[in-house]
This record gives sequence, C-alpha cells and structure tokens, in this order.
Amino acid sequence: MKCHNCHMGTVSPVAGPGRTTRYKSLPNLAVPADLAIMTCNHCAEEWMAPADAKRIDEVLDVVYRQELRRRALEVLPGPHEAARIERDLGLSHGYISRIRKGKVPSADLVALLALIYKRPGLLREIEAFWEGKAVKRVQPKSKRRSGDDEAVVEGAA
Amino acid sequence: MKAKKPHWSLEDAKRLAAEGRLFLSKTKAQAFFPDPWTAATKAQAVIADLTERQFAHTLQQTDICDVYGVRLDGKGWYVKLTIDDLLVIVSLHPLEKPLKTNAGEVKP
Repeated sequence: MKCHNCHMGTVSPVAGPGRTTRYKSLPNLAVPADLAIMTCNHCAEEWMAPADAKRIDEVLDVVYRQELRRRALEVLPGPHEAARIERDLGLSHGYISRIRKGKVPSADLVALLALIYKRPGLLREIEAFWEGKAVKRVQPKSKRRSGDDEAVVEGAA
Repeated sequence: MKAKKPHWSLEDAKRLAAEGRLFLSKTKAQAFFPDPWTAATKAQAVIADLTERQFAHTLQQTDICDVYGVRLDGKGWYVKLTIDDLLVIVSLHPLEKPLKTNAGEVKP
C-alpha cells in the first residue's frame, strides 16, 4: 500500500531492534525486535488495521507490564516504610511485598510510589490530607519564591 | 442551504470499516489514544456512526479526502478519510478550531 502520510513511500511490515513507542503511560516503551509493524519506507510512519492493532497490543501489553513492575521495583519503599505507605494509599496489607514477589502494580500506583520516593515529605502531606487539613494548591514554579517548594497542606510540616 | 455531499460513499466506508479493511496511522493515533487497540476500535466505531450531517467538506489534496466533524465523549473531533481499496483514516484527532458541517458548527 502507498503511504497516505508522505505519498512517497510504500507501507510494508517491518521488524527490527531499536524501536520505541508510546504505550499507555509510557512514552518510550521498547518495541520487541520481532514485532512487525506496517511502516512506510520513506517517512517511517507506522500504520495499522484493527487486526494489526490487536496483535501489536497483545505483545506491547506484556512488555508494558514487565516495565511497570521494573519501574516499581526501583521505587518500592523498604520494609519498615511499606506498612505506612500501604495504609496511606489504601492498599491491602502486604501489597508492596507482593509487588516484590511478582505482582504487577497499576501505573497510577507506580507513579505515586515514584513521587513519594523522590519527595518523602509527600507522605506526610497525604496523611495531613486524610486528617482533613485544608489543601492549598502549589503555584507553578515560575510564580513561587525560591525555597517555597512543598507548601501543599497547611500544618503538614 | 443544500447539504454538501461527500466524495466517498459513506456506505462503502462503513462496509470497509465493518470488515476490518480500515487503515489508520499508528504514529498519529498514539498522541490521542492510550494504545493501538483503543485507537482502532474507536476509529471503527466513529465510522460506523458517521452520517452525512457530520460531513464538512472534501479536500482535493494528493488524495481526495472527506472531512467530518463528530462529537466524541463531549468533545469535537476531526475525521479525515479516503478510500484506496481500503478505508484510510488519514486524521482522527480532537478539533483545534470549530468545523462547519452539514449539521452546523462542531466546536473543539
């Protein structure tokens, strides 16, 4: 089929290493080298029919889940913090330990765990929020004074 | 005012989409859909529900393309299609500006 993007190339199945794609929450998921995708030989635009989309999705979903778990393992809390985080995020007891043993967490949980890993103070802010303290929205960085970094919940410090 | 007519038969477009003989850009779809399967099924659903009231105009580009404005999940979307043995969805994305269709203006 001719490419309806560039009108110069021809579209045919292409497989190979070094490709990435946006898939669900991940902007650069590695595409398995053996996954053939209809690709233009001139502009590299990728095309799909519904049957291709299903096949591509089945393969990418496996890679995506592996990547989610790998990212989660990078930011999982230690055993002494795990119970507090499970409580504050409404997870069942032992959930974090189950991720360590192979459970695939959701993308939103991995994102939260990553934020808490990067800014441990967020956990106290979450607790203050659950305690019912007023929440103040943080201004975009350009509008903030320097050093005014984490003023999210009143009385949360 | 007389309603405008699309260049490509909507019946043919719908038949091709229902048969799975529909092609869309995976590269472009990934900007607006979480995964290829969601994009493809949404594209099929959009074509299945398309009416001439949603037709906006025909573009005489390298391909002759029909443009439609549809509402999806409360937002206006731009649909550009052509037929080349298969139904090719050249564009399927949220509207950037209002689009005049036979049914009236579709807003972003």
